[in-house]
Amino acid sequence: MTGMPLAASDRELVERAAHGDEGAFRAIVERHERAVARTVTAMLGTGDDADDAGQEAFIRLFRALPNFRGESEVATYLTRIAVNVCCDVLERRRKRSGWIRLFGGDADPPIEVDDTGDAVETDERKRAVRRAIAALDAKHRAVVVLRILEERPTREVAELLGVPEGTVMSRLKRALEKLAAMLEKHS
Amino acid sequence: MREDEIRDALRGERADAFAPGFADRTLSRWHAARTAPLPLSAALTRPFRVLAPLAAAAAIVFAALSVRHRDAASGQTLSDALLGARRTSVQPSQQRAVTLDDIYGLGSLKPGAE
Repeated sequence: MTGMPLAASDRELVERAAHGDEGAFRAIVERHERAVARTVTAMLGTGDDADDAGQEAFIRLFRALPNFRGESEVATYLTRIAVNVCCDVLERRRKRSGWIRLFGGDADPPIEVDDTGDAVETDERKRAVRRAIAALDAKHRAVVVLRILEERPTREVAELLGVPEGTVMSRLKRALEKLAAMLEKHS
Repeated sequence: MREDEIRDALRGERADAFAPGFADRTLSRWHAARTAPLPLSAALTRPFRVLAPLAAAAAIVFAALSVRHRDAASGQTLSDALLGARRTSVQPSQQRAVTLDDIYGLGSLKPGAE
């Protein structure tokens, strides 16, 4: 049990967690776990990597708490950290698959797809779209996830990624062009 | 490429929660991170980052002072001055060969011996 009142605000919890209150930190994790899970699994797919990235996001949040000045909401701050962690993971995957290809191996697809789903999951077109999204690099995938899947406004996506709004728009345009080109090749 | 098609494909892929026990795993990882000793590289990196700029600044100051007080009359070059090296010369009348016996012989133990 957390021992935290349900009504405790994020600010209060952050204040206590920053002073080493484990219960407050647990309450923050439990409160924001679902939101982080949605973003992280959309970026990395389901599996161990996503779970690991989710944990890392909260650990980084905890380390950053002494410097957290409350200029943004905890949820926004946490999403920004989670996206950064996911970008690191995707970058590592890209390097790893590059090495595997270099030595003549067959690099695994960078996204883990659960094949046990229903008929919709097995739909060929959707799988092709997913594979194409998985082939995008981290910065383009982040924009696709935040802007299209999570339907966040461009301004918020720009804030989360720490880039100007114009960059978000151009990355989105480029990502859509890449996806269209990959699916064209597929079909 | 339609945005709703992308949204549809990704919605089927993402999960609404991590595997059960996520908070426990995160807390135990947090404990492990707090109790783990600092890696040697991190332990060395922190003081290095503080001391390296100070050391570099001190070296520049000493080099500038040495150049400013360069003793050109004695033939000290600029590079010698930068390194703080002084040129010394021995008068020919004071020159004599130094033997191993001078250094290690019993005579070197005599009081007043060089």
